[in-house]
Amino acid sequence: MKIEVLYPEVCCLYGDKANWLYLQRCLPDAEVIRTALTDTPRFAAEDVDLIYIGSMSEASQELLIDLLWPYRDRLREIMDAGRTTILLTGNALELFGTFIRREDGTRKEGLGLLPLHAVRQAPTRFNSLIMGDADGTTVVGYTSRFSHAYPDADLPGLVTVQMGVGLNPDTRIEGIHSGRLYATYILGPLLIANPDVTKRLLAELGAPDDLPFEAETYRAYEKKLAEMRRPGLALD
Amino acid sequence: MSVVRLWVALALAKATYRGLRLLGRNASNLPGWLALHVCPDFLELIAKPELVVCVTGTNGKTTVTNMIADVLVGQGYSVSTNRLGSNIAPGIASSLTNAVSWSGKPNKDACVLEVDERASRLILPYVRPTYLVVTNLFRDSLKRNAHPDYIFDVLDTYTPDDTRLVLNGDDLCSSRLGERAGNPRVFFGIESMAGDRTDSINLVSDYSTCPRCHTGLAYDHLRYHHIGRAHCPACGFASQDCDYVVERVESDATSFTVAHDGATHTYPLVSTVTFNIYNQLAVIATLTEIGLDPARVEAGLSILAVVDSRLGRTQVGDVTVVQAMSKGQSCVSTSRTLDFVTHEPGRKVVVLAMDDWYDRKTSVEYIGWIYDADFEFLADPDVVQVIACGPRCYDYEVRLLLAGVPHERIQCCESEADAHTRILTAGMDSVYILYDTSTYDVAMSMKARILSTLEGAAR
Ligand SMILES: [Zn+2]
Repeated sequence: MKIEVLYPEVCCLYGDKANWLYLQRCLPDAEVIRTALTDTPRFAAEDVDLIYIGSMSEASQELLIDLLWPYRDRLREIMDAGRTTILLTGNALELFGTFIRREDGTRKEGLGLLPLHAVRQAPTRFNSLIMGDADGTTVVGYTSRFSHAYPDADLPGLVTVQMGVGLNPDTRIEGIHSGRLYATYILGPLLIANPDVTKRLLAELGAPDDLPFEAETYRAYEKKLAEMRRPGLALD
Repeated sequence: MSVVRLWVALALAKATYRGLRLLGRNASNLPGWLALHVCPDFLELIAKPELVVCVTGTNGKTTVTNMIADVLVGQGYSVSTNRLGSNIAPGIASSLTNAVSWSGKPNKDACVLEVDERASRLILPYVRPTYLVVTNLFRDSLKRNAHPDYIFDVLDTYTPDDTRLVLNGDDLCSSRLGERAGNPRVFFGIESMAGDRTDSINLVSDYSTCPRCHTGLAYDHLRYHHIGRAHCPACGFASQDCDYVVERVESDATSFTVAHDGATHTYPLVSTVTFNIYNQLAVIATLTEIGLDPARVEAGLSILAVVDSRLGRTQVGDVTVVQAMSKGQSCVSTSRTLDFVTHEPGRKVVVLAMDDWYDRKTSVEYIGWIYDADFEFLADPDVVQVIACGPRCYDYEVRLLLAGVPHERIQCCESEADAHTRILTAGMDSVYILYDTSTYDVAMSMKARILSTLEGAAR
């Protein structure tokens, strides 16, 4: 099992680092490849089982698009082949879109792998709790960002939001689930906060789905779920 | 027209100030708020004293602002500051009001202003400070401050090009402020300290890559997170050379020597906590830049005692109970406190009471930030018990388990009011209660209960 973490030096904001550190705990025999900004990605020359990219600054987004630009066709091939899970948290999903519109109206062209574009609106910050359904599982999380994403075509969502915002304020669709690509604006330790999601992910990777400290993890999840269902909650 | 508006705003602010003072009320925000309401460009139009010092940064800005103001006052300057007011526009406007007469003429020698780093875009372009001191930039609340690159951009964009910058040369982030605009800049730093390392032990280590070529930086020494000195093995980029340099600080030092401009001078060290040494160094650099000679700076500092408001100690029998402020939702502040607590001598119980007070009433706190904080420190065998309190206690439990804290050492209390029923009554030398600014009252009543439990056990 090979897990490739792309550019962990900069894609580590808001507790996102916990996602791959946790996967390492779930899959002690897996090889975790930490690809640095100056490295050639491992996925370029060989198949890996999972690619992870976490939250980053807006400047890092533009740097990453430049770094991944030569591998657009390879990423498309990987997405089509369906042998690799791709997990994107926070604003990493915006890299895969067609463009990011900056506050001054100029655009940064994206990797063009997903039919959506992002619009930045700093200094306005969007903060929201999120609770929603992902294929029969209730997902809990939080988003904090300067941008929204707008689909250019019909996109299969990852979560149908019951509380909070979707990809933008006008949709209840949060994230994208296309083949084995899972992209979500939810940031932080998504996999620790949502044990059912992690179990599914491990099953997709063909690994045993035992979680470290499973009982305690479920207790924390259930408690949060109960609180999220209180009426009249402030979302931000 | 704007002159009339300014005059009305000033008169209203001054009258309000006088009225509030007569009533014995806090007059440090409302006058400025009213002034800005009447005259939105009040900050720009009001006359300022010849010397305006603004202080910003993630940590230490209050300490540095107060120290600069206190030394200046001690040295005979008349100073207006926002010590009691807010560090956003209304507090700044109130302080500026207090630095002019009813006719609008400056009647103070200096304004020393603490400025919120995020709100600086609404303040710095109009106040146009003579000096801007930046203590450091770290990750802080993600909801408000996003990430340090964002705060850096705000400061870099909105600081006037002619403002003189006093910067921490050991901070790989804030030391690059003013580079693009060519501001006059001076840097302060510490050459070596007891406990320096060359590898990171923190989960959060921003700015670990070269800003020019993205190669991983090599650290000449590292203190915590990204504070230290580094160079790029590929392109030659390196940390700033410093103008105010402390050559060496020992862990038990009571004074330190600062080299500047070919001379050295020894100053009393008011605190040995690394953060505070940097704060004091920022103060020395700023006062020297203002033109105070080292003897006057030393004289000013020697009468100051840093009151460490973060810590309060109470002894019960053989056990010391300590309350320690640990800003919630701030991974760096929490990591610094966890590091400090773990490395204190003896066996300890650590009580975590940082769950946000307002979020628990109306919302569900985003708890992901605890995965950026170094709870791994608590896996130390001398930490004999950790009590996680508040509605997020089960999230803390998972975090602690993943950090390597043994299951049997962890207790969860949904209410802080129950912590005293779970606490060990023997086998420890100290109890540390970590609280957030919003949970101070909760932490104090918890401390009282813990003290009586320990007193009962000691009898
Ligand atoms: Zn370099």
